[in-house]
Amino acid sequence: MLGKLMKYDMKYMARILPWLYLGAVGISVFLCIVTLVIPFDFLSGFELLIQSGSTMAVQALLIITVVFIVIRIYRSLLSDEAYLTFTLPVKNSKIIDSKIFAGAIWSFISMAVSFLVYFIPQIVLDIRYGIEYPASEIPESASSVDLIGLLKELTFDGLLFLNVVVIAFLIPSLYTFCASVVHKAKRGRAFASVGMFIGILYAVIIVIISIISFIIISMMISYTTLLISPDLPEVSVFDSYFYAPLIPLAITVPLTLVSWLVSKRIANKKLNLL
Amino acid sequence: MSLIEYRNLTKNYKNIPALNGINLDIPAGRIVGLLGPNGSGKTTLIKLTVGLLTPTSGTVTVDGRAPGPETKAIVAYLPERSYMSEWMTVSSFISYFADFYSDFDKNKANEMLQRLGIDPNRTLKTLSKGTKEKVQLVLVMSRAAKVYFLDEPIAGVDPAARDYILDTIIRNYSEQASVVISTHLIYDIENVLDDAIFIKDGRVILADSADSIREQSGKSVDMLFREVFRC
Repeated sequence: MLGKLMKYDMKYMARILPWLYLGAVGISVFLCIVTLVIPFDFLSGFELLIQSGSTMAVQALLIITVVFIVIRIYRSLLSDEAYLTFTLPVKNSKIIDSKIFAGAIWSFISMAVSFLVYFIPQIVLDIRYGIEYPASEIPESASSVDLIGLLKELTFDGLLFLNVVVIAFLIPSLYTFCASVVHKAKRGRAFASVGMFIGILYAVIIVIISIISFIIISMMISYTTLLISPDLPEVSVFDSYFYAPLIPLAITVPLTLVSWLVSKRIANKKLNLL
Repeated sequence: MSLIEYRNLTKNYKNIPALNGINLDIPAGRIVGLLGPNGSGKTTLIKLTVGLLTPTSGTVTVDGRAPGPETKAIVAYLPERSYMSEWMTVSSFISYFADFYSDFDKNKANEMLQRLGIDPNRTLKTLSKGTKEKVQLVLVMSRAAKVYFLDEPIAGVDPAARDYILDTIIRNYSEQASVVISTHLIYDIENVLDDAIFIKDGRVILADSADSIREQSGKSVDMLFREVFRC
Protein backbone atom coordinates (compact mmCIF):
# COMPACT_ATOMS: atom_id res chain seq x y z
CA MET A 1 0.00 0.00 0.00
CA LEU A 2 2.89 2.37 0.75
CA GLY A 3 4.08 1.90 -2.84
CA LYS A 4 0.63 2.81 -4.19
CA LEU A 5 0.41 5.88 -1.97
CA MET A 6 3.88 6.96 -3.06
CA LYS A 7 2.98 6.46 -6.70
CA TYR A 8 0.32 9.18 -6.46
CA ASP A 9 2.43 11.49 -4.28
CA MET A 10 5.29 11.21 -6.78
CA LYS A 11 2.90 11.78 -9.69
CA TYR A 12 1.67 15.04 -8.19
CA MET A 13 5.19 16.50 -8.21
CA ALA A 14 6.03 14.90 -11.55
CA ARG A 15 3.56 17.23 -13.24
CA ILE A 16 5.68 20.28 -12.48
CA LEU A 17 9.22 19.60 -11.30
CA PRO A 18 10.70 17.94 -14.42
CA TRP A 19 9.77 21.08 -16.40
CA LEU A 20 11.50 23.21 -13.81
CA TYR A 21 14.57 20.97 -13.99
CA LEU A 22 14.56 21.40 -17.73
CA GLY A 23 14.34 25.18 -17.32
CA ALA A 24 17.19 25.24 -14.80
CA VAL A 25 19.37 23.02 -17.00
CA GLY A 26 18.53 25.32 -19.93
CA ILE A 27 19.80 28.33 -17.94
CA SER A 28 22.93 26.35 -17.03
CA VAL A 29 23.61 25.40 -20.66
CA PHE A 30 23.08 29.01 -21.74
CA LEU A 31 25.58 30.20 -19.12
CA CYS A 32 28.10 27.54 -20.22
CA ILE A 33 27.79 28.70 -23.85
CA VAL A 34 28.21 32.34 -22.77
CA THR A 35 31.29 31.34 -20.75
CA LEU A 36 32.86 29.58 -23.71
CA VAL A 37 32.12 32.08 -26.46
CA ILE A 38 32.55 35.40 -24.71
CA PRO A 39 35.85 37.27 -25.38
CA PHE A 40 38.28 36.60 -22.54
CA ASP A 41 38.63 40.29 -21.69
CA PHE A 42 34.94 40.42 -20.74
CA LEU A 43 34.93 37.14 -18.87
CA SER A 44 35.68 38.50 -15.40
CA GLY A 45 32.81 40.96 -15.81
CA PHE A 46 30.45 38.16 -16.84
CA GLU A 47 31.58 35.94 -13.98
CA LEU A 48 29.19 37.71 -11.66
CA LEU A 49 26.33 37.22 -14.09
CA ILE A 50 27.17 33.54 -14.51
CA GLN A 51 27.37 32.95 -10.78
CA SER A 52 24.28 35.01 -9.97
CA GLY A 53 22.30 33.42 -12.80
CA SER A 54 23.08 29.86 -11.79
CA THR A 55 22.53 30.71 -8.12
CA MET A 56 19.12 32.18 -8.81
CA ALA A 57 18.15 29.15 -10.91
CA VAL A 58 19.18 26.89 -8.04
CA GLN A 59 17.36 28.98 -5.46
CA ALA A 60 14.18 29.01 -7.52
CA LEU A 61 14.35 25.27 -8.01
CA LEU A 62 14.81 24.48 -4.33
CA ILE A 63 12.17 26.92 -3.15
CA ILE A 64 9.61 25.72 -5.67
CA THR A 65 10.30 22.12 -4.62
CA VAL A 66 9.62 23.00 -0.99
CA VAL A 67 6.51 25.01 -1.87
CA PHE A 68 5.06 22.16 -3.91
CA ILE A 69 5.80 19.63 -1.18
CA VAL A 70 4.06 21.87 1.34
CA ILE A 71 1.06 22.35 -0.98
CA ARG A 72 0.82 18.59 -1.50
CA ILE A 73 0.93 17.93 2.24
CA TYR A 74 -1.56 20.67 2.99
CA ARG A 75 -4.04 19.61 0.34
CA SER A 76 -4.00 15.90 0.95
CA LEU A 77 -3.86 16.01 4.75
CA LEU A 78 -5.59 19.22 5.76
CA SER A 79 -7.98 20.28 3.00
CA ASP A 80 -11.15 18.55 1.71
CA GLU A 81 -8.95 15.96 -0.05
CA ALA A 82 -8.23 14.57 3.41
CA TYR A 83 -11.74 13.06 3.34
CA LEU A 84 -10.44 10.68 0.70
CA THR A 85 -6.89 10.36 2.06
CA PHE A 86 -8.01 9.26 5.51
CA THR A 87 -10.74 6.91 4.33
CA LEU A 88 -8.32 4.82 2.28
CA PRO A 89 -7.85 1.34 3.75
CA VAL A 90 -4.32 2.06 5.00
CA LYS A 91 -2.81 2.97 8.34
CA ASN A 92 -2.53 6.70 8.93
CA SER A 93 1.20 6.31 9.56
CA LYS A 94 1.62 4.91 6.03
CA ILE A 95 -0.05 8.04 4.62
CA ILE A 96 2.47 10.23 6.45
CA ASP A 97 5.35 7.93 5.43
CA SER A 98 4.35 8.23 1.82
CA LYS A 99 4.48 12.04 1.99
CA ILE A 100 7.86 11.93 3.71
CA PHE A 101 9.45 9.48 1.28
CA ALA A 102 8.01 11.06 -1.88
CA GLY A 103 8.96 14.55 -0.65
CA ALA A 104 12.46 13.38 0.29
CA ILE A 105 12.99 11.72 -3.09
CA TRP A 106 11.95 14.89 -4.95
CA SER A 107 14.08 17.02 -2.60
CA PHE A 108 17.15 14.90 -3.35
CA ILE A 109 16.48 15.02 -7.09
CA SER A 110 16.09 18.81 -6.87
CA MET A 111 19.31 19.09 -4.89
CA ALA A 112 21.18 16.90 -7.39
CA VAL A 113 19.88 19.00 -10.30
CA SER A 114 20.72 22.17 -8.34
CA PHE A 115 24.32 21.13 -7.86
CA LEU A 116 24.67 20.30 -11.53
CA VAL A 117 23.06 23.58 -12.54
CA TYR A 118 25.31 25.52 -10.17
CA PHE A 119 28.65 23.81 -10.65
CA ILE A 120 28.70 22.98 -14.36
CA PRO A 121 28.99 26.68 -15.37
CA GLN A 122 31.65 27.07 -12.65
CA ILE A 123 33.62 24.13 -14.06
CA VAL A 124 33.29 25.55 -17.56
CA LEU A 125 34.47 28.90 -16.17
CA ASP A 126 37.49 27.19 -14.58
CA ILE A 127 38.24 25.36 -17.83
CA ARG A 128 38.10 28.66 -19.73
CA TYR A 129 40.47 30.26 -17.23
CA GLY A 130 42.69 27.18 -17.46
CA ILE A 131 42.86 27.49 -21.26
CA GLU A 132 43.62 31.19 -21.15
CA TYR A 133 46.07 30.80 -18.28
CA PRO A 134 48.12 27.64 -18.84
CA ALA A 135 49.78 26.43 -15.64
CA SER A 136 53.20 27.45 -16.84
CA GLU A 137 52.04 31.03 -17.23
CA ILE A 138 50.38 31.41 -13.84
CA PRO A 139 52.06 34.27 -12.01
CA GLU A 140 54.22 33.08 -9.11
CA SER A 141 52.22 35.08 -6.60
CA ALA A 142 49.11 33.10 -7.45
CA SER A 143 50.55 29.69 -6.69
CA SER A 144 51.01 30.67 -3.06
CA VAL A 145 48.10 31.56 -0.79
CA ASP A 146 45.30 33.24 -2.72
CA LEU A 147 43.15 34.88 -0.05
CA ILE A 148 40.83 36.67 -2.43
CA GLY A 149 40.16 33.51 -4.43
CA LEU A 150 39.56 31.63 -1.22
CA LEU A 151 37.20 34.33 0.07
CA LYS A 152 35.32 34.27 -3.19
CA GLU A 153 35.03 30.50 -3.08
CA LEU A 154 33.79 30.57 0.49
CA THR A 155 31.27 33.32 -0.22
CA PHE A 156 29.61 31.83 -3.28
CA ASP A 157 29.77 28.19 -2.35
CA GLY A 158 29.15 28.88 1.31
CA LEU A 159 26.01 30.86 0.64
CA LEU A 160 24.71 28.20 -1.69
CA PHE A 161 25.39 25.48 0.86
CA LEU A 162 23.73 27.56 3.55
CA ASN A 163 20.58 27.87 1.48
CA VAL A 164 20.49 24.21 0.61
CA VAL A 165 21.07 23.28 4.22
CA VAL A 166 18.27 25.56 5.42
CA ILE A 167 15.89 24.12 2.83
CA ALA A 168 17.01 20.60 3.64
CA PHE A 169 16.23 21.34 7.28
CA LEU A 170 12.89 22.89 6.44
CA ILE A 171 11.47 19.90 4.58
CA PRO A 172 11.60 17.20 7.32
CA SER A 173 10.58 19.80 9.90
CA LEU A 174 7.42 20.49 7.94
CA TYR A 175 6.69 16.78 7.62
CA THR A 176 6.88 16.27 11.37
CA PHE A 177 4.82 19.38 11.94
CA CYS A 178 2.09 18.26 9.52
CA ALA A 179 2.07 14.75 10.91
CA SER A 180 1.54 16.16 14.39
CA VAL A 181 -1.19 18.64 13.63
CA VAL A 182 -3.26 16.36 11.46
CA HIS A 183 -4.15 14.38 14.55
CA LYS A 184 -5.46 17.31 16.50
CA ALA A 185 -8.61 19.33 16.17
CA LYS A 186 -9.46 22.58 14.41
CA ARG A 187 -6.93 24.59 16.41
CA GLY A 188 -4.17 22.26 15.20
CA ARG A 189 -5.12 22.91 11.60
CA ALA A 190 -4.95 26.65 12.17
CA PHE A 191 -1.48 26.23 13.68
CA ALA A 192 -0.49 24.10 10.68
CA SER A 193 -1.61 26.78 8.25
CA VAL A 194 0.27 29.48 10.15
CA GLY A 195 3.33 27.22 10.45
CA MET A 196 3.41 26.48 6.77
CA PHE A 197 2.91 30.14 5.90
CA ILE A 198 5.84 31.05 8.14
CA GLY A 199 7.92 28.27 6.51
CA ILE A 200 7.25 29.60 3.00
CA LEU A 201 7.80 33.21 4.09
CA TYR A 202 11.06 32.14 5.75
CA ALA A 203 12.26 30.46 2.58
CA VAL A 204 11.35 33.51 0.45
CA ILE A 205 13.18 35.85 2.84
CA ILE A 206 16.26 33.63 2.69
CA VAL A 207 16.24 33.80 -1.09
CA ILE A 208 15.91 37.59 -1.13
CA ILE A 209 18.65 38.08 1.46
CA SER A 210 21.00 35.64 -0.24
CA ILE A 211 20.50 37.17 -3.68
CA ILE A 212 21.21 40.64 -2.27
CA SER A 213 24.24 39.25 -0.37
CA PHE A 214 25.49 37.55 -3.51
CA ILE A 215 25.29 40.70 -5.57
CA ILE A 216 26.80 42.99 -2.93
CA ILE A 217 29.55 40.61 -1.84
CA SER A 218 30.51 39.58 -5.35
CA MET A 219 30.63 43.20 -6.44
CA MET A 220 32.90 43.96 -3.48
CA ILE A 221 35.12 40.99 -4.27
CA SER A 222 35.37 41.85 -7.94
CA TYR A 223 36.22 45.43 -7.09
CA THR A 224 38.80 44.44 -4.45
CA THR A 225 40.33 41.85 -6.79
CA LEU A 226 40.68 44.48 -9.45
CA LEU A 227 42.31 46.91 -7.01
CA ILE A 228 44.73 44.47 -5.39
CA SER A 229 45.73 42.17 -8.17
CA PRO A 230 44.19 42.54 -11.60
CA ASP A 231 46.25 39.66 -13.06
CA LEU A 232 45.41 37.13 -10.40
CA PRO A 233 43.96 33.94 -11.86
CA GLU A 234 41.00 32.09 -10.34
CA VAL A 235 41.70 29.40 -7.80
CA SER A 236 40.00 26.19 -8.78
CA VAL A 237 37.19 25.18 -6.44
CA PHE A 238 37.09 21.75 -8.01
CA ASP A 239 37.80 19.93 -4.73
CA SER A 240 34.69 21.37 -3.13
CA TYR A 241 32.45 19.91 -5.85
CA PHE A 242 32.87 16.45 -4.42
CA TYR A 243 32.00 17.06 -0.82
CA ALA A 244 29.41 19.74 -1.53
CA PRO A 245 26.38 17.44 -2.00
CA LEU A 246 27.29 15.56 1.17
CA ILE A 247 26.52 18.52 3.42
CA PRO A 248 22.77 18.80 2.79
CA LEU A 249 22.54 15.03 2.51
CA ALA A 250 24.19 14.59 5.91
CA ILE A 251 21.61 16.94 7.41
CA THR A 252 18.52 15.85 5.52
CA VAL A 253 18.91 12.09 5.94
CA PRO A 254 19.03 12.01 9.78
CA LEU A 255 16.38 14.72 10.05
CA THR A 256 14.04 12.88 7.73
CA LEU A 257 14.69 9.70 9.69
CA VAL A 258 13.88 11.43 12.98
CA SER A 259 10.71 13.00 11.53
CA TRP A 260 9.69 9.59 10.23
CA LEU A 261 10.13 8.01 13.68
CA VAL A 262 8.24 10.84 15.36
CA SER A 263 5.36 10.72 12.85
CA LYS A 264 5.23 6.92 13.23
CA ARG A 265 4.61 7.33 16.95
CA ILE A 266 1.86 9.90 16.59
CA ALA A 267 0.23 8.92 13.31
CA ASN A 268 -1.89 6.05 14.54
CA LYS A 269 -3.22 7.84 17.57
CA LYS A 270 -6.17 10.20 17.57
CA LEU A 271 -7.50 11.52 14.31
CA ASN A 272 -9.92 14.41 14.43
CA LEU A 273 -10.55 15.71 10.98
CA LEU A 274 -13.21 18.39 10.99
CA MET B 1 -25.45 -9.47 14.57
CA SER B 2 -25.81 -5.87 13.41
CA LEU B 3 -23.45 -4.59 10.78
CA ILE B 4 -22.88 -1.30 12.61
CA GLU B 5 -23.20 -0.86 16.36
CA TYR B 6 -23.05 2.35 18.38
CA ARG B 7 -22.80 2.05 22.15
CA ASN B 8 -23.04 5.13 24.40
CA LEU B 9 -21.32 7.08 21.66
CA THR B 10 -20.49 10.65 22.62
CA LYS B 11 -18.56 13.23 20.70
CA ASN B 12 -17.74 16.69 22.03
CA TYR B 13 -16.20 19.56 20.13
CA LYS B 14 -14.33 21.27 22.95
CA ASN B 15 -17.07 21.17 25.58
CA ILE B 16 -20.02 21.31 23.20
CA PRO B 17 -21.65 17.91 22.66
CA ALA B 18 -22.30 17.02 19.01
CA LEU B 19 -23.47 13.49 19.85
CA ASN B 20 -24.76 12.48 23.22
CA GLY B 21 -24.82 8.81 24.24
CA ILE B 22 -25.96 7.25 20.96
CA ASN B 23 -27.09 3.60 21.14
CA LEU B 24 -28.04 2.23 17.75
CA ASP B 25 -27.83 -0.86 15.56
CA ILE B 26 -27.85 -0.85 11.78
CA PRO B 27 -28.51 -4.28 10.28
CA ALA B 28 -27.23 -5.58 6.93
CA GLY B 29 -29.26 -5.29 3.72
CA ARG B 30 -31.19 -2.12 4.59
CA ILE B 31 -31.42 1.38 3.16
CA VAL B 32 -31.40 3.65 6.17
CA GLY B 33 -32.24 7.34 6.22
CA LEU B 34 -30.27 9.34 8.77
CA LEU B 35 -32.59 12.28 9.10
CA GLY B 36 -32.26 15.49 11.01
CA PRO B 37 -31.96 19.26 10.62
CA ASN B 38 -28.68 21.05 10.08
CA GLY B 39 -26.34 20.70 13.06
CA SER B 40 -28.20 17.71 14.52
CA GLY B 41 -25.09 15.46 14.44
CA LYS B 42 -25.67 13.40 11.27
CA THR B 43 -22.29 14.15 9.69
CA THR B 44 -20.46 13.68 12.99
CA LEU B 45 -22.02 10.22 13.37
CA ILE B 46 -20.90 9.30 9.84
CA LYS B 47 -17.38 10.68 10.36
CA LEU B 48 -17.02 8.64 13.55
CA THR B 49 -18.09 5.51 11.67
CA VAL B 50 -15.74 6.00 8.71
CA GLY B 51 -12.78 6.78 10.99
CA LEU B 52 -12.38 10.50 10.34
CA LEU B 53 -13.12 11.33 13.98
CA THR B 54 -12.45 9.57 17.25
CA PRO B 55 -15.20 9.38 19.89
CA THR B 56 -14.96 11.32 23.12
CA SER B 57 -16.45 8.25 24.80
CA GLY B 58 -18.35 5.11 23.84
CA THR B 59 -17.73 2.78 20.93
CA VAL B 60 -18.59 2.31 17.29
CA THR B 61 -18.01 -0.99 15.46
CA VAL B 62 -18.40 -1.90 11.80
CA ASP B 63 -18.68 -5.63 11.15
CA GLY B 64 -17.45 -6.18 14.72
CA ARG B 65 -14.35 -4.01 14.40
CA ALA B 66 -13.44 -0.50 15.52
CA PRO B 67 -12.83 1.92 12.62
CA GLY B 68 -9.43 1.29 11.02
CA PRO B 69 -7.89 0.06 7.76
CA GLU B 70 -9.96 -3.18 7.87
CA THR B 71 -13.29 -1.36 8.20
CA LYS B 72 -12.29 1.29 5.64
CA ALA B 73 -11.84 -1.54 3.14
CA ILE B 74 -15.53 -2.45 3.48
CA VAL B 75 -17.02 1.02 3.92
CA ALA B 76 -17.75 3.26 0.94
CA TYR B 77 -18.07 6.90 1.96
CA LEU B 78 -19.48 9.79 -0.04
CA PRO B 79 -18.83 13.04 1.86
CA GLU B 80 -20.93 16.15 1.47
CA ARG B 81 -18.02 17.96 -0.23
CA SER B 82 -15.71 17.25 -3.14
CA TYR B 83 -12.62 15.32 -2.03
CA MET B 84 -11.08 14.92 -5.46
CA SER B 85 -7.83 16.57 -6.58
CA GLU B 86 -8.65 19.09 -9.27
CA TRP B 87 -5.58 18.24 -11.40
CA MET B 88 -6.52 14.57 -11.85
CA THR B 89 -8.65 13.25 -14.67
CA VAL B 90 -11.80 11.19 -14.08
CA SER B 91 -10.07 8.11 -15.50
CA SER B 92 -7.06 8.57 -13.20
CA PHE B 93 -9.50 8.62 -10.29
CA ILE B 94 -10.94 5.33 -11.48
CA SER B 95 -7.39 3.88 -11.46
CA TYR B 96 -6.84 5.41 -8.01
CA PHE B 97 -9.93 3.71 -6.58
CA ALA B 98 -9.04 0.44 -8.34
CA ASP B 99 -5.55 0.62 -6.79
CA PHE B 100 -6.76 1.06 -3.24
CA TYR B 101 -10.10 -0.74 -3.07
CA SER B 102 -10.10 -4.41 -4.01
CA ASP B 103 -13.93 -4.31 -4.27
CA PHE B 104 -13.89 -1.56 -6.91
CA ASP B 105 -15.35 -2.51 -10.30
CA LYS B 106 -13.67 -0.51 -13.09
CA ASN B 107 -16.11 -1.69 -15.79
CA LYS B 108 -19.10 -0.70 -13.71
CA ALA B 109 -17.64 2.77 -13.15
CA ASN B 110 -16.96 3.26 -16.87
CA GLU B 111 -20.46 2.11 -17.75
CA MET B 112 -22.01 4.55 -15.29
CA LEU B 113 -19.86 7.40 -16.58
CA GLN B 114 -20.86 6.59 -20.14
CA ARG B 115 -24.54 6.58 -19.19
CA LEU B 116 -24.11 9.96 -17.50
CA GLY B 117 -22.25 11.34 -20.52
CA ILE B 118 -19.12 12.19 -18.54
CA ASP B 119 -15.86 12.15 -20.50
CA PRO B 120 -13.33 10.17 -18.42
CA ASN B 121 -10.41 12.07 -19.95
CA ARG B 122 -11.49 15.41 -18.52
CA THR B 123 -9.74 16.85 -15.48
CA LEU B 124 -11.85 17.58 -12.42
CA LYS B 125 -11.23 21.32 -12.64
CA THR B 126 -13.09 21.43 -15.97
CA LEU B 127 -16.23 19.83 -14.52
CA SER B 128 -19.19 21.62 -12.96
CA LYS B 129 -20.04 21.16 -9.26
CA GLY B 130 -22.96 18.86 -10.07
CA THR B 131 -20.87 16.72 -12.44
CA LYS B 132 -18.14 16.38 -9.81
CA GLU B 133 -20.77 15.12 -7.37
CA LYS B 134 -21.94 12.60 -9.95
CA VAL B 135 -18.35 11.41 -10.51
CA GLN B 136 -17.91 10.95 -6.75
CA LEU B 137 -21.13 9.01 -6.56
CA VAL B 138 -20.04 6.81 -9.48
CA LEU B 139 -16.74 6.07 -7.72
CA VAL B 140 -18.46 5.21 -4.45
CA MET B 141 -21.27 3.13 -5.98
CA SER B 142 -18.83 1.16 -8.17
CA ARG B 143 -17.53 -0.53 -5.06
CA ALA B 144 -18.99 -3.78 -3.77
CA ALA B 145 -18.78 -2.48 -0.20
CA LYS B 146 -20.60 -3.85 2.83
CA VAL B 147 -21.71 -0.40 3.96
CA TYR B 148 -22.30 2.80 1.99
CA PHE B 149 -22.38 6.10 3.83
CA LEU B 150 -23.82 8.83 1.63
CA ASP B 151 -23.74 12.25 3.25
CA GLU B 152 -26.22 14.59 1.54
CA PRO B 153 -25.88 12.86 -1.85
CA ILE B 154 -28.69 14.82 -3.51
CA ALA B 155 -28.29 18.23 -1.91
CA GLY B 156 -26.25 19.90 -4.65
CA VAL B 157 -27.80 18.45 -7.80
CA ASP B 158 -30.82 19.32 -9.93
CA PRO B 159 -34.13 17.37 -9.46
CA ALA B 160 -33.59 15.35 -12.66
CA ALA B 161 -30.17 14.23 -11.44
CA ARG B 162 -31.67 13.37 -8.03
CA ASP B 163 -33.83 10.68 -9.60
CA TYR B 164 -30.82 9.27 -11.41
CA ILE B 165 -28.71 9.30 -8.23
CA LEU B 166 -31.37 7.51 -6.18
CA ASP B 167 -31.87 5.03 -8.98
CA THR B 168 -28.11 4.48 -9.12
CA ILE B 169 -28.00 3.84 -5.38
CA ILE B 170 -30.84 1.31 -5.47
CA ARG B 171 -29.53 -0.51 -8.53
CA ASN B 172 -25.90 -0.74 -7.45
CA TYR B 173 -25.91 -1.97 -3.90
CA SER B 174 -26.04 -5.62 -3.08
CA GLU B 175 -28.68 -7.20 -0.86
CA GLN B 176 -26.11 -7.96 1.83
CA ALA B 177 -24.96 -4.36 2.03
CA SER B 178 -26.41 -1.46 4.00
CA VAL B 179 -26.81 2.05 2.69
CA VAL B 180 -26.97 4.93 5.13
CA ILE B 181 -28.22 8.16 3.52
CA SER B 182 -27.92 11.34 5.50
CA THR B 183 -30.20 14.14 4.33
CA HIS B 184 -32.83 16.67 5.25
CA LEU B 185 -34.49 16.38 1.80
CA ILE B 186 -36.70 13.50 2.97
CA TYR B 187 -39.45 13.86 0.40
CA ASP B 188 -37.02 12.89 -2.38
CA ILE B 189 -35.71 9.76 -0.70
CA GLU B 190 -38.67 8.51 1.31
CA ASN B 191 -39.68 5.94 -1.28
CA VAL B 192 -36.33 4.17 -1.21
CA LEU B 193 -35.95 4.00 2.59
CA ASP B 194 -36.35 0.77 4.56
CA ASP B 195 -35.56 2.40 7.91
CA ALA B 196 -35.45 5.94 9.25
CA ILE B 197 -33.41 7.38 12.11
CA PHE B 198 -34.40 10.81 13.43
CA ILE B 199 -31.56 12.62 15.10
CA LYS B 200 -31.91 15.85 17.04
CA ASP B 201 -29.35 17.76 19.12
CA GLY B 202 -27.00 14.77 19.07
CA ARG B 203 -29.59 12.27 20.27
CA VAL B 204 -31.54 9.58 18.45
CA ILE B 205 -35.21 10.39 18.98
CA LEU B 206 -36.67 7.78 16.64
CA ALA B 207 -35.29 4.67 14.95
CA ASP B 208 -37.74 2.38 13.20
CA SER B 209 -38.69 0.94 9.83
CA ALA B 210 -40.28 3.41 7.39
CA ASP B 211 -43.39 1.21 7.12
CA SER B 212 -43.80 1.03 10.88
CA ILE B 213 -43.41 4.82 11.20
CA ARG B 214 -46.09 5.38 8.57
CA GLU B 215 -48.36 2.78 10.19
CA GLN B 216 -48.01 4.08 13.74
CA SER B 217 -48.10 7.80 13.02
CA GLY B 218 -50.53 7.69 10.13
CA LYS B 219 -48.21 10.11 8.28
CA SER B 220 -45.44 9.88 5.77
CA VAL B 221 -41.89 10.01 7.10
CA ASP B 222 -41.52 13.45 5.50
CA MET B 223 -44.68 14.76 7.23
CA LEU B 224 -43.62 13.37 10.58
CA PHE B 225 -40.14 14.87 10.14
CA ARG B 226 -41.66 18.30 9.45
CA GLU B 227 -43.83 17.96 12.55
CA VAL B 228 -41.02 16.82 14.86
CA PHE B 229 -38.49 19.37 13.66
CA ARG B 230 -40.83 22.33 13.22
CA CYS B 231 -39.05 25.59 14.15
